[in-house]
Amino acid sequence: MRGHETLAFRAAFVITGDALEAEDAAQEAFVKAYRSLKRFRTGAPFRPWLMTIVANEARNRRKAAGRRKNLELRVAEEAAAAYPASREPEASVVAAERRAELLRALEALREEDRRTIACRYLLGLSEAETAAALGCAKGTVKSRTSRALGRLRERMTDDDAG
Amino acid sequence: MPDSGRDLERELRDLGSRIEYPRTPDLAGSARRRIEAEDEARTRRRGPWLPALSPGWAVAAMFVIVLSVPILSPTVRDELSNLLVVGKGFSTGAGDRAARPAGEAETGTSKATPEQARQAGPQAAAAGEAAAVPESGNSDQPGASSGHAKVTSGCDAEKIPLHQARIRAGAKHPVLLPARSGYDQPDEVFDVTTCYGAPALGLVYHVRANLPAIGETGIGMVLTETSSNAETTDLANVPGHVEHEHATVGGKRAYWLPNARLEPFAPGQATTGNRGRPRINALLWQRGGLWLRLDSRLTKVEATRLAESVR
Repeated sequence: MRGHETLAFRAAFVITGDALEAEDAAQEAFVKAYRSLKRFRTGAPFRPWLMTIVANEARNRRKAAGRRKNLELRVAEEAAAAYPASREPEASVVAAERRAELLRALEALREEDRRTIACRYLLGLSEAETAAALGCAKGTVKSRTSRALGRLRERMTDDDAG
Repeated sequence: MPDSGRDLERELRDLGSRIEYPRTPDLAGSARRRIEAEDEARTRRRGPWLPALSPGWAVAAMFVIVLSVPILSPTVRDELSNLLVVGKGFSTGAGDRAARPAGEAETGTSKATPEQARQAGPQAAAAGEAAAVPESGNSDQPGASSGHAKVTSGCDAEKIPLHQARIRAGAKHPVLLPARSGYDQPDEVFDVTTCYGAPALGLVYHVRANLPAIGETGIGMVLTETSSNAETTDLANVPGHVEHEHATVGGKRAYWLPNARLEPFAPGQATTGNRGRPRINALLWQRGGLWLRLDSRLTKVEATRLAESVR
């Protein structure tokens, strides 16, 4: 399970919006997954199965907390190594600005849209895993993603125009 | 601005790789430590000599034992018919501990001496045939007597003062009492841990205002508290074996056993089958990790109100 712990924790964080809740949820999910291993269908992909348990646990905690904590994301300090100052410093600055702009637009989205985008693109979950994480049908993820992308694009356009 | 949807998706993926998430804790390690601790605790509770039976197999094994003993021996069958504790077919004593509700000590075998019967607490008497005289007086008064009676093998009902019960219960499962005037001090307290294989207390309240007597016993109510929940959950899960109704205590599911026959609480009452046993109403519910059982002649509504005040 060690290979999945980062993704499990991050998914729990995206759902709960709180690092401590995410840690508890992911740990509980790991224990439950271990106890349920005999029910795991051999040959089936492990990650979606584990992510479903993690997501259920995280959503339960979010509900139990009785409050909705907004998901706050921030971009790590620009890794200088990615764009060494000696090479293309201008490109580095432009790309960083673009990312900051995108993140601002993302944060301005509705919570539901933001979590959908976070699961699908920031965490790189599949549609099925995203559906498990958000507790909805796969078809809903598809339509929600499409709508969220549309709104995000509009916001980016507005920002550019402004 | 991204030129197309595809560009936007690519940019989002790129952004995802740069998001600063909180540091990932050692989840696998902490989960492993928790699993080991839980397994160790389970082994300690079960005892290393017992095989690790799954709940399903344990229930199946229990039914085989319960059903086969009476079938195989007419003598045993007669004997056991006298030991039924609640309603029909609810508990058969030996070998059936797992099917007893909280509040019922291991059933006796009429082998207790008069002295043992005198000393045995109502909790023990409620399950065995040894009946006890509830000694008057507050359980926490200096004069409150202590006794220790071995009612059946493996089941002692030890009379202790309330403060001693509080010490034994510890912080994890404090002694719960009805938050009602006149109920803050039970008249007698019995430690019936050995009857359940887990910490268990029987709090006895004598007859008082709005608390009618159970038969001729002089006892108005017995409140049993145990952290052993196997008995009560089995009770809840075997509806065919128990005549019970669903109830609600504090919004949570509870069980009501109306007009059930228990062993007498008073001394000197010969127990001749069911005829010698006073009828009681029992309410079972769960609170703070404990299973509680309230035996009385109160109505369901009255018992539920009293139960909801227990804290």
